[in-house]
Amino acid sequence: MGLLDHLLLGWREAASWQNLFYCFLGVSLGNLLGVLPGVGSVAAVSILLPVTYHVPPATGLIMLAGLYYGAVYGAVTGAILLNIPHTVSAIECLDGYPMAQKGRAGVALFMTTMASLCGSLVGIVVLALFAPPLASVALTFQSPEYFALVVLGMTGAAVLAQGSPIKSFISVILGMLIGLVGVDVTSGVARFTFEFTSLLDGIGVGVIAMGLFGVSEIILNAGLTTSPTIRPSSITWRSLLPSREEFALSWPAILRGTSLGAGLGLLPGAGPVLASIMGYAVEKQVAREPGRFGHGAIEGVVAPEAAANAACQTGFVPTLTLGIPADPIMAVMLAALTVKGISTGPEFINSHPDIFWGLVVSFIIGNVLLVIWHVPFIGLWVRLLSIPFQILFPAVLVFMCIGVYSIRQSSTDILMMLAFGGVGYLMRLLKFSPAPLLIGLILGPAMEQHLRRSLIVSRGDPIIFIQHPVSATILSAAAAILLWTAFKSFSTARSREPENANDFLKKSDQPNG
Amino acid sequence: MSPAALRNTDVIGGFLTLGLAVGVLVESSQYGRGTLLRMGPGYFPMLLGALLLALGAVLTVRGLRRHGEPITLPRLRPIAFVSAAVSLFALTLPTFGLAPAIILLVVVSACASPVRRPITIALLAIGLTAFAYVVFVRLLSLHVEVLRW
Repeated sequence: MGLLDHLLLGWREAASWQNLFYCFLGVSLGNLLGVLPGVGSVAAVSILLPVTYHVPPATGLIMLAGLYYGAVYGAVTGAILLNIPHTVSAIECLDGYPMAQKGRAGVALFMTTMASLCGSLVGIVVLALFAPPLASVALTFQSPEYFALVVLGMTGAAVLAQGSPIKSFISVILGMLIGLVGVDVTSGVARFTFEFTSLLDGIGVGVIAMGLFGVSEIILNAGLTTSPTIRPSSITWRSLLPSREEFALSWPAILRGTSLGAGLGLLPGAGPVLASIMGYAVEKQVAREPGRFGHGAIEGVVAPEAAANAACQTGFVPTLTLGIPADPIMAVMLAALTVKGISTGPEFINSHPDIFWGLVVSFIIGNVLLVIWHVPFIGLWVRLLSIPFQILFPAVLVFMCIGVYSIRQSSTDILMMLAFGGVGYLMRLLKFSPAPLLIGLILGPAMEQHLRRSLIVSRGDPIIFIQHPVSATILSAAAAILLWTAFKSFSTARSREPENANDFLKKSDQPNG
Repeated sequence: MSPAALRNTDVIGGFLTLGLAVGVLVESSQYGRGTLLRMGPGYFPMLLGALLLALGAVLTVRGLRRHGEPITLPRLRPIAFVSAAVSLFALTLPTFGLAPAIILLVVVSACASPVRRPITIALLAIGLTAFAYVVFVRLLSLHVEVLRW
């Protein structure tokens, strides 16, 4: 079957009324939650996770993915208009908010939407072209290769998370330990259950993610009172159009951001957050007058946005073909598939072509929907920004509690979610990023299994990981990343010179993941 | 070593990590370690525990030497009200049904915010109950009683 046949297959799947509806629901909710301050996209995806238990797997995945990239579109609105740093769009505050203060908010919003569309569409093309060949390469992978990939994914997740890498590694290991809770599949021994029968099956990813991100963000932000400074009426249709100069500056930046993001997204462990930071850094490097950055340079808004969206789409390549999630949100999506009894990996595209190609086509539909939805109704989204958080968070709590309950009809799970909310809050107080925990949680069981199997094959000799060339290469890449991080933190500890972009992210007080 | 120097995120985080590592090592040593060839159920958790021990030690030492970020004190009001609200929901739902559980959850959690308007909260509680009834009970057919005496 050629690409066209595959796309046709995907179209038949994605264009069913049910899937169109859930795609629309996903992107609209994503856009909405991305706009609203105080609810991060990991929290948003976990809140909707229970819904996927009640619909077919393709439908659930289409909705969650729509929520994911919809939130990237939405988050930039808050960044430009109110200087709200959602992690994925934090970097856009640097130049987006100054643009708004200069009365160019409309232009910034319109051009970022165009940048998002461009980044996403290129990302989708890369996904459709690269995923099937990568999957056939990955078919030859054995346990040592998978073990190495898991190590690389975890290293990437820990190094790229906000804050101290040591704390992020602790966070990853904590996630792996939580992933061990329950009966060990190989030996039948119950581990870390402490005589609680409800722990024998392990702890649901939904419960953990909603607690760590949802509940703890609510506790953190409950005191939030926003007062928007922009009146919705100030954004008219005419104000959306860029000047000739702004357009000339934007389009090369969009193309640079897109290609950068599409490439970065392919790496396991590198998500849209990294892509947007790198996109900004590159623009600042190539600009003729770097001094304009921070005072409303349009390249600094559109390039990170294009990069983030491209990385969002290409991030599905490692997630679906190798089973290595690119970021915590992908980890939640993998969990949604696992619950349905579908395992991702190299066989995924061949054994479930309808799901894979349906997803690809739904990305195209969803992005077009977002542009239609986002631009003409920009006034509506801006008005939503003025919903006070004190009304929003009880509503979010209601959805989370009912959502957790609906998974297993268990009110113990609700209390468990609350407990993980406490863990998440403590982690935030102590400046541990909770995002790597989710990666460890998803990859931990895979790591143990592949380690076990590799060592059985090699009769207990760990040299097998170096004898296999692919796993040796991947492991040395992980080691290089580790060494580089250690070197970097050592040298910054000595000079203490703050780097612009990283420092900004550390200061932004919304570790939404 | 003044007590203030200990009150930074690295030292506290490091101590907590060390404690957790010891707990993991003690607990997983009971599972049977096995050998590299035949890894027992305790092998992998012990490996993780050892890694955690090393990382916790590095973090603690770094915090003591460099005086990491000072810890911001937790805000008790949101913690207390959000925890109470969620626990009440979990307890009320099986005995009294969905509607009273949602109303309690909304009213108690709304107290976590510094801005509290009784009429808004009441309307929100009623609106959310109606919404949850339509979406979860009617559309998604969740098995839960709405009201129980």
